[in-house]
Amino acid sequence: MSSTSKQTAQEAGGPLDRWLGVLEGTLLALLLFGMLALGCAQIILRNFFDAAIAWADPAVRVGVLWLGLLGAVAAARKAKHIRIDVLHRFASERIQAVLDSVAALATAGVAAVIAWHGVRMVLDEYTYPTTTASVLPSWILQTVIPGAFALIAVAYLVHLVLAVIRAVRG
Amino acid sequence: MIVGLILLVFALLGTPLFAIIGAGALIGFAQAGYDLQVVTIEIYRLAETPVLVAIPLFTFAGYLLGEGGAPQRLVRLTQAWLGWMPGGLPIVSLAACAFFTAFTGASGITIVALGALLLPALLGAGYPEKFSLGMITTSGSLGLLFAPSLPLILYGVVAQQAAVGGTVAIDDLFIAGILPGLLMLLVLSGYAIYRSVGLSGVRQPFAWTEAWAATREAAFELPLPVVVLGGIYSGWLAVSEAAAVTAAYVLLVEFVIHRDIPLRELPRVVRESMMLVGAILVILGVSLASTNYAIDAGLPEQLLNWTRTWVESKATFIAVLIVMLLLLGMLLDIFSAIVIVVPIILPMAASYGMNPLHLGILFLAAMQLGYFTPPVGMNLFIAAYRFDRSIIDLVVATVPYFLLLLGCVLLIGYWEWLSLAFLG
Repeated sequence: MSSTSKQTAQEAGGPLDRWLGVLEGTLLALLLFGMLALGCAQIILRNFFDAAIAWADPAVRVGVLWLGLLGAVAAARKAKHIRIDVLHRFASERIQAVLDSVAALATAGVAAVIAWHGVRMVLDEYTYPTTTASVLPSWILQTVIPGAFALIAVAYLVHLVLAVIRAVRG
Repeated sequence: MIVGLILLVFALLGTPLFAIIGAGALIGFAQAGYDLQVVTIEIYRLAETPVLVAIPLFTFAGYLLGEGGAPQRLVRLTQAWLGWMPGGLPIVSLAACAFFTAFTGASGITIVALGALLLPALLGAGYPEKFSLGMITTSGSLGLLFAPSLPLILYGVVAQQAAVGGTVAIDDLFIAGILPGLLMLLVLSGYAIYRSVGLSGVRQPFAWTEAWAATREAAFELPLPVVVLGGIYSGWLAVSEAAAVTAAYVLLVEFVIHRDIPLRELPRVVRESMMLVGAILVILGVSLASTNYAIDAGLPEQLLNWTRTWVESKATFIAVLIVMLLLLGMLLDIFSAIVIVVPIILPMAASYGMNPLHLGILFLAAMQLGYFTPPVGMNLFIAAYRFDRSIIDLVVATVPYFLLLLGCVLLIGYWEWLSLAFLG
């Protein structure tokens, strides 16, 4: 449940892991600093020039959604989502692997169902747009929901395979 | 009912809570015959909540502060100014931890970043080990009630979504937390002074040169609370804008002025802080859906009527609430607890005439104890890992602190004035 207690274990991994980590870090940094720059620009414009960028506020709000869901994908890859881990504290490594398998399967299932309904939502929005106010069509902004939950499902499927291997090998 | 039990079992097996809550919402809406797109539409509502932007920005600023030399500078500063007092060094620890926790959002970083500096200092100055370990483990969550802590902001966001019992502005929450937070700080400081009486050689004389040097060194971090609170209360900045200014300011201080952190580390710090943000926001997103289902199914009303038949007065309600929150704090982390429980108890509290700001402060104060109560108190495990001690040692060491803070929680619960004094 903590995001800081197991930092040593997370940096272990192959080149793919490192490459994905850099990719996530770069995307997240672009989003975060973009939002930061827009936010600061708005403050300066409002207080010194009595002006505002009309699309900045909605862009920042959508930015939070994208940032949060991409962060959730990164957290899924490192299995760092918030969970209750009482049993893990007292279980042997093998039992832990069994528990992890069950949890990973359930999580992948739920994330996949959400991703599926996300795809349907995006398609509906594409066909019958509900909002036309933003610069970008809203279906594009919504794609992050199915995209992120699909990646989360994939990440937990990988965790499932790894956990099953741990459980079998003991 | 059966679905709920199955989900509970999965939660106890260690399934991430966002999946549990998401499954609850999906199953609930499916049984009620809704198109399940409703769940993803609710998640998309995350993009319609303006204050939410404060969460990634403050979290990033906090992580950045923890990575650089800010913890050392903070400890040196407080030690130079407070080290001469009886119990000075423990008070240093408490003050530094409270400041740091407020900015890092009580994510456990305080113990990792500050504990490693403070514990050796306390032991070296002759304070007993049990006293020192307990103090550091406890202070890891102290400061939760001070702006701009992440749980305070999250409570405000969730309460605004629920919109019952009056508005909950985040800047009002920041004010409401001041006296209760100070109360906890003062009570623990008093205990530290009491325990230091008779210990020899634990005070350091006050020296103007050191105080001046330490102040100069920390000169750029010191204005942070002023930037945040001053900016908000002068009306210059909204909470989300204060977050942007804080993040930009910390970025400037750590990378341009102090240069403690190499620039190539930046993507890693961003990624680590955003993993925490993602973990919280994804729970918030699915909870928007599950709460909506619960309201649709009339669950809060049923629960309220049920409570009404058992609990008559506000005083009894507060007692029940505190017991429930302590139990909850033993099992759930503060972020999930806020998102899951607040929408349910807000209408209840309102029906007993409890102010939502007072409820928020009491909620966080009680949940704060959960950080170091077994079996899952996060800070117990972080401290055990960081200081290489057994969990049992830490549980025993924190007992006096737990009792003192429990007293504070009772006072906060029954003395509404503490939370509402400055709010007209």
